[in-house]
Order: sequence, then structure tokens, then C-alpha cells
Amino acid sequence: MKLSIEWLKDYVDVDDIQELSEDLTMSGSEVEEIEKPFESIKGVISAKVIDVKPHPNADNLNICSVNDGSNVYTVITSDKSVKRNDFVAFGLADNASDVNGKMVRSVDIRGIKTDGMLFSLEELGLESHSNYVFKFEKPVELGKDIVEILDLDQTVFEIEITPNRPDCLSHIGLAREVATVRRKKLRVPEVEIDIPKGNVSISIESKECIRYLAVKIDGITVEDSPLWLKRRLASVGIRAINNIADITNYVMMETGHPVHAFDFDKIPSSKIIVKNAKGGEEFVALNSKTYTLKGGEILITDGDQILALAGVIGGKDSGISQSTKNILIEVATFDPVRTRKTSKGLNLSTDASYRFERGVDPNDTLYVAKRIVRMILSLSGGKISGMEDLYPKIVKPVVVKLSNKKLSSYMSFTPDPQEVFDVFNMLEMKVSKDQTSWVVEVPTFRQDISQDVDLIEEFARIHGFNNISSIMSMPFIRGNKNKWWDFKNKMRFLLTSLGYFENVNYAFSDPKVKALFGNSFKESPELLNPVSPELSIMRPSLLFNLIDALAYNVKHQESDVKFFEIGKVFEADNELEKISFVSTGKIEPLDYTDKRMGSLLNFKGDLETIANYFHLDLNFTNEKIDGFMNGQCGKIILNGEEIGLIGELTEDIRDFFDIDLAIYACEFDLEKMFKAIRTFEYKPSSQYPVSFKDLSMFVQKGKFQASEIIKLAQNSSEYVKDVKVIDLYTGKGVPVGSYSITIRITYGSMDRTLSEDEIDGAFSKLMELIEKTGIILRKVR
Amino acid sequence: MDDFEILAQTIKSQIDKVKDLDDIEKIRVATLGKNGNVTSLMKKISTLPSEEKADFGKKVNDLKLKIETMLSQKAASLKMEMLKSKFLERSLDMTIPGPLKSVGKIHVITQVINECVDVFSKMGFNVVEGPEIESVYYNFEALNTPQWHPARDLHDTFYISENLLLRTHTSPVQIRTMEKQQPPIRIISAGRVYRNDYDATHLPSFFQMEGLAIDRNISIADLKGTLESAIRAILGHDKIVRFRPHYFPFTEPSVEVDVSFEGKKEWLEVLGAGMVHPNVLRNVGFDPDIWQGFAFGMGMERIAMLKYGINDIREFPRNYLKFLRLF
Repeated sequence: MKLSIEWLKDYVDVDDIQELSEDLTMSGSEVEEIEKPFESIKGVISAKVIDVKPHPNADNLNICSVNDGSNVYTVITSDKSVKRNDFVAFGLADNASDVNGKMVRSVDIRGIKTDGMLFSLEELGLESHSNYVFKFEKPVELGKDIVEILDLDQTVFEIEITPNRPDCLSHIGLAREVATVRRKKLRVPEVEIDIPKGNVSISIESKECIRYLAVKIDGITVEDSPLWLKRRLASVGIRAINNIADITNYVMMETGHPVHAFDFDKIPSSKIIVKNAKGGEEFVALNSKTYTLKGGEILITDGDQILALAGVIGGKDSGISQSTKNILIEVATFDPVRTRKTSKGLNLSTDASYRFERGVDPNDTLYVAKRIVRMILSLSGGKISGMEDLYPKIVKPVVVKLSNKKLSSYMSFTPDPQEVFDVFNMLEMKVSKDQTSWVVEVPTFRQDISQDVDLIEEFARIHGFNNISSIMSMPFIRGNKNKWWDFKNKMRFLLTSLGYFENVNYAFSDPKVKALFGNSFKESPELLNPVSPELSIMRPSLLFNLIDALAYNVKHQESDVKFFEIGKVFEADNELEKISFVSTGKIEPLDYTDKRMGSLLNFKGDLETIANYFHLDLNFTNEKIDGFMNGQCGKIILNGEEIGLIGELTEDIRDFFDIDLAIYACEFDLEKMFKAIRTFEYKPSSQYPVSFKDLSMFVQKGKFQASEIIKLAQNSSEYVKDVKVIDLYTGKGVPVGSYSITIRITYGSMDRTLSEDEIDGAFSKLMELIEKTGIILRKVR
Repeated sequence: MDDFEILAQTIKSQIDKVKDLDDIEKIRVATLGKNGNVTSLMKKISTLPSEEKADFGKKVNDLKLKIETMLSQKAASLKMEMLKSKFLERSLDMTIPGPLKSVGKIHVITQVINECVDVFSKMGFNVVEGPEIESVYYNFEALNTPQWHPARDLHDTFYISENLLLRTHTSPVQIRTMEKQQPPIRIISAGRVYRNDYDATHLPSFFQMEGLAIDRNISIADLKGTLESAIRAILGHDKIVRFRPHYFPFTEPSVEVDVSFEGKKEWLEVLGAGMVHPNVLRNVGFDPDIWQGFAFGMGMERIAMLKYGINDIREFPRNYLKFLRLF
């Protein structure tokens, strides 16, 4: 909403612009910008035409000599109405600029060079289109700045009006706010005039038309509005069209009530019938566009022909034109929801629909009608023919009760009753008081107030939130520990200590990436209105965007990238929290003494480090997974349940992201891991020394699994305390298709030092068990 | 110069050339050893006539002593040199940069969330979470924002279906909490929210933190005190905070909270807040004449940007290591 300060001063006294801005902002109408709409007009001065002669080389042009009081300049104009002794607005080349900041240039028009140009109201920003240059009606002092003469040094506030305050979408509404904050008098325009009923026929057939008043005025003259009116409209961003259209806009910006004018002679049946659209009708609006109606829109018709889309826009055929003589002025109120549906449905938002969908007061109808009729009679002549006013269901002011107790409880102090009374009273509420409560009748232009808290807000915002003291001692409350939240943070610390950087990616994904992973992830919800096709599904896995981020970094000169992310992934009707991590490059990128490249085995070690930290044992399957290299991936198993997957990504995926390096990726269900964690109870450790035995063997890949051998060792004797892999080797001396693995078995007991015989016995038994499986033992130590 | 002196000279020049201890030993054997030339001279004494014995014997002894001294001095200096080179070998130039271990970083958004959680936790707010795909009811209707309400214009919404959407704010968590828990309630909830708005200053998904306090007598003054102290704890105790009236459908009265940074003239909006609307309380079955309280919502990216002077919101989802390493 644009607020002209000069205009505002009609209704309330204003002292200081900065103070006014502060008052409005701190009472809820935030001033976002303080603008000077005509500030680009520079160097345009008053001048007198002293000579006019035809251009020797062009019939449609005249050459004029103008005098600015000190010099005489040559200008060329196509406006043949410019006569000797006319007072005009002249801009010197390279010196003057128009409302858009466009500089005047000297030009050569068919052999004659100009010194500058004559300005029209269009170039001064006061008209949407000008056919003639601007001429002063009366002689003016020469060489004077046009900004001064036409009073164009205007200040305008751009104000954010919240959706609950349609009453503030008007100059009077904002003046009321200012008056209340500063306890000043509000002056609304005097409108007394008698409008006799009759000569207008209206019928309302739509339930969503709350009130419809129409006044017929005969014999008006459509012409240009006076300058002051053009200037006010222009400063709030509305370009002048003609006096009738301008007055309707003016009254809307003044009162907040949208008003419409029809050319009465273009209403074939001379009757107004308000009804709802059936759907499928076509309507040509004032903006020359054709709309096909969806059905349900409120229409202003003559019974047959659509004259206007109620509350949104008028029709082209029934609009005001230069030849219009008799007019019908509409002051109506339409249902907010219905107006919003119409506006959204046709994708057409206007100043009128913006106000109606927020709520326009039906009870100011007569005032608005009288105001506009008076303005029309004074600015375009004519005579009132009559009017009709239909108001099927009167909207009555609501009465709201606010208990002293609640007001004090919300404010944390007991406000001065005089101040409370003043605030409500200034806001035009009828205030009374009983023993315990304020009883307030709320004017119908304040449809946002219906409950006690709404009144508390009125008091609080006028009193000033910053004038309420702060309390820093809320009542004690029992605190809870959110272990799940803490677990996720613990996970973050673990991953970062392993060298992984946390990512926070979008939760949208590219369906193309999902396709590359075949059946590895479940179907996820699709957006009806995505920002782009690449962000059109909810992520079924954190991996997609994590790989994308990894690729982005690799392409930006980062060769070693380790990333993780914790976040929601989405299934058809479920969302669950997962963790993913990916890695490419060296194991220790910053350690120049360690040049090893990462491998799947090392990557898997990172995962097992995490599990180990929480005392969890993971198992793995060797199986094919879409998106991962065959033979280099598997599922992660925790307590017999599948919780995720791990492996090296396929070349297809690397190609898609244009990466030429091995990428390892892992993802698992975070909640499943969280639930598996047991609180650990203290157990004393054995006082007696333990013994170690190492065992090396060749294992044929695909025939035995390392996990089976470890399990075998673990269960081989009650003395086995721990089994660990201490070496893994393939290459020279190891049969093709096998690997050499060395395990270290720790033997011990809680109550004594084991004898050598006991240990050897247990170890021999283990060797036997292993050899029985067909595995070849290498050496015994 | 007699023969002894010549011999002494010769041996001295041999010793001077010696580079290691083995050669010293060789010279000792060659001179003072069983068959060494000085030893042979000693043996010769007994064969000499007695008048020559004393003089010859003294000279041989002197020579022997001289050689022994030279040998032991040389040995000591050789040992010293060896020790020195051994020390040098073992020494470390302490100015060589040590090889580093890679340690990752927690994303700045998570860090800011955790910091806010810490601050509010100390004031008794408990952490809760809620779903990101929400029903229209929880996101709008339960929050006093019916269909066709103009306030819905403020939320460009992503839809999954007619009835399911991506939550546009963390406020549905208020409803979900109040449905499950009786007052007194004091919760915060941080998480991802979505708006269909993508340009240089808006992300289609970003992070918010919601707060809710419901009790018998919670006032606007409590709202102010809580948010003022939290904002100062998070952004710095030198900050000035102001409360400006605003509108949200689910709070009444509503405010926006601005912060002023030293050296900057303008006020920067950091959060929205207000007293929970009685309609919202009624929707979850609380009697607004018994229970009242406040709610607030703040943008985490905004806080991070103010805190660290980040001027491009698109840095957050880009996850570029050069950015991630900074925090």
C-alpha cells in the first residue's frame, strides 16, 4: 500500500516524516520504503512560447521558440495546439530529465537542431498517455522549477499491510492509526448530500453479494481530471485515465472501498442483476483480456449480458468512454472467500479483488456513495437521477468482552483504565465497562476483531510492545532429555572425527538418479509443483544429493572428499531418518606420510568403527545391489535385521556425475541402530593375565566367509575372550581366488591364569575345527 | 733429529689421517702390539749394553707414552664426532609441519541449530521433532488458517496431493505436541521447512526453529524476556532487540522481532512470535481461559547469516568444502 503524506494530511496532522514512519511501523503497519515518486524529474522549467512556425521540411511538425526568462530556445513539436503565448514546461538538452530519469537530448529533426523539448504530463508521470504537451492554464513566472510549481516534491510510504487489516488499505484507515497513536483528531471528509431513491433497478440473486448500491448520474462530462487529482493518484502509483475512472480510484484509495462506474447507456436492459456464473461463459474485461468463467463467480449483469466480474474487474463493453453521458456508480460489498476464489481461479488480482478478499465494510456504503457522488458532481458535472441500495442481511457490529483479569495477565501489569478507554475509543469502538470487564462494540470495518485477545492486541500495539517490561523468570518446568536428538549429535561427532564433513542437502531429488539405482530404494512421493524436474521427487535416499555434492567438490579441485548427511528420507507413506556417507580419494588426505588411497575395506572399517563405538556388531551380506559394483557391495545386517547397504558405486553412476574416481557409499537406518543400543552395565575385568594365539590361513573367496571363521573361533572354547583380524594379504604365495587372513585369539579366565595345557588344548581344538572345514592353515604360533 | 723423533713423527702423521676407531686400533697393534715396532724396540733394551740401557729405555718409554696419549686423544675426538653425527641424524627440525589427520566439520546450519537448542534448553525448553510431509490440517487449518485465507499467500506451498504438503513452517509441531501433552508445555523444534520460492535470496527448503510455552499465566512480558535473552545469547549481548506488531493467523497478539547491529542503522528481522491464538488452543482441546502462552519461529539460515556475515544464502545447500571448512 502506497501512502501519500500530502494526501494523509487531509485527515490528520503530521509533524515529522521520520516520526510518522516510526509510529506506523511500531503500530503494525511497517513502512518498508520512503519514496519520492517524482524525484527523477530534474531541470524542467516554466517557459513561454514566443514564436511558432511550420517546419520547412515536415508538414506535421512545428518549430517553436520558447523563452525561459533569460534565454530563447528552439524546440520542435508535433503538437499543433501549441500557440504563441502559451506557458509550457521546457527541458533543456543534457540538463533536464523526465519522471523515469531519461535525459533530454538535442536532436536534429529534418535539418533543424533542437535545444530541448516541451514536456507532457505523461513524461511528468501524471498521465498514462498524453496527446498534447502540458500547458499552464494561467501565466506563471518564467524559469521556475516545474517540481515546485506543480507541487511534485511528494513523499510516499510503501507500507506492508498485514492480511488482517484491509481497513489500512486506505488513506483514512492509516490516518486513523496515526491519530490513535498520537492521540490526534481524525478529520474525515464531509459528505452530506441527498440522494433520492428511484430510477435504478437492482436485483440480487447471489448469496455472496452482501450489499449492492448503485447511483445513476445523468449528463456528466468525461474529461481530464484536475492536476491535484492526477498528482495524488500518480504519487500512489495510479496513472490518470479520465475524471470518472480517476474519481473511482481516488475514493478507493481514500476509503478502502472499491467502487465501479458503468456507462449506463451500455447496459442494454437498464437493469442490474447480480448472480453467480454457471461456468463456461466468456467475459471480456477492461484489460481487453477474455476470461472463461469456472462457475460460481459473482457477475454483475443486465440479466443477459455480463457487465462486470463482481469485486474483481469491470467489463470492456460497459466501461466509461469519452462519449459517456450517463453513468451508474456501484458501491458494493462481496464475500471475501468468493472473491478470492474468483481471483485465484482466473489468476487475476486487482486492487479491488485484493481489498474484497480481505474484507470490505458493507456499512460504509452510504458514506462512500455520497463521497463519490459529490466528487463527480463537482468535477464532471451532471445530475443525480436516483439510486437503489439492497442489503439483504445487515452486518451488525460485534460486541466483545475483555476481562480485566485477562488483559492484566497478558500484559503482566494492570493497564491504566483511561489509557485502555482512549485506545479503544480512538479506534472508533464503543466502550463501556462493568465490574470485571471491558465491553466493546467493534466497528464493522474491523472484521479482524472478534475475541478478547484481539482487543488485547489493539491495546498492546498502541501502548507499544517495547513499553511492556520483560520478565526473565518463567515458572519452573520439568526438563526432558531427548536421547534420539543426542544420539544424532553423537553420530555427527563420530563421523567428523573420522574425517567426514557434514552436508545439508535439499530433500528433493532427481528421478533420473533414482533410476540409476534401479530397485535399491523404494518409491518416494512426487511433488505436484516442483521447482524443476531435477528436484521433483522427495529423496528416497540421502545418497543421491550427497554424491552430487561430492561430484561438485571434485570438479572444484577437491580430490579427497568425505561427506556424510543425517536426515529424512521419504517412502510412499512414511518418512524415516537415515545416515549416509560417501568417500573418494586418499584415506588420510592431509597426512603426507600416508599415501594410501581409500579402499572399500577401509571405508567399511569406518562404518564398523561407528558400530563398535556403540558396542554393536554388524554383519554383512555379499549380494548384488543396483547402483553398486558387482562383488563389491552388500547389505548391512544388525541383530539379524537388514539396516542398510554399502559398496562401491557403478561406473554408470560415476559417468552420470562425470567423475572418474572410485566412490564408496553407505547408507543405513539411523533409528534401527539407535534402538539396538543397550545401556552398558559395568563388569569388572579379569585380574589374571590373558594369552594370545595367532592363526593364519588361506580362505577361498566365495566358499567361506570371514565372519564364519571368526564365529567358529569365538565359539570354539569358553576360554576365548576375543577374536580379531590382525592381518590380511593377497598376492605372492597366496593361491588365486583366495586370501590369507591372520586372526588373533585371546584366551583367558575370570578366576585364574590358564595353564599352558588348557590354552594349547583349546587352540588345537580350534585348528582341528577349521581344518575340518577344508580351510588350509598356514602357520601356527 | 734422532730415530725416535722420526718414528714419533711418522706415527703422528698416521694417527692424524685416521677416520675411524678401527684404524686407531690397527695403529695401536702396529706400534704397541705384541709385534709392534715400538714393542720390538722395548724388547731390544735387554740386548743393549748397560750404559746405553738407561738412555735408550727412557726414550722408548717416552715414545710409548706419547703414542698412547696420541691414540687415546684421537679415539676420544673420533668418538665425539660420531656421537655428534648420530645426534644430528636423530634430530627433528621442529619447524617441519606435522602430518595432519583429517577431521570433518559439522555443517554450520546444524551448529547454529545446536547452539539455539542449547540456549533454549537451559530455559527449560525440551527438544521435539515432527514430520516434514504434513497434512493441510496440521500445516494450516489447525493453525487458524482456513482455506481461502489471504494469509496463505505468504506461504508458497509444495503439494504432494490435495491433502498432503511439505510443511511451510515448523508450527505444525505445536499442534502435534499439544495433542499429545497436557500443559505446562515448553518445547522447541528445529527442522526443515519448504516454500516454493527459489531465487537469489530464497531457498525452496530451509531450516526453522519453533518454540512453544503454554502455562497458566504466561504473558507478553515472558515472551519478551525469553526471546530477548535468547537472541542476545545467540547473537551477542551488545544487540538491541525490538518488538514490532505483526500478524500471524496462529498468534494474537503477534510480533516480529528485529535486532540492531552496532554500526548499522537498519533493523534486521530475526523472528516472528506471538501469544498462541485461542482458536489454536481450542483446536487441541485446551481451554483458553485457563491456558495461555507464546510461540515463536526463527529462520536458522538467517541467524547463521547474521552471526557469521554470510551474504549468499545459496552457500548453505551447496556443501562446498571451502565453505564447510570455515566453521
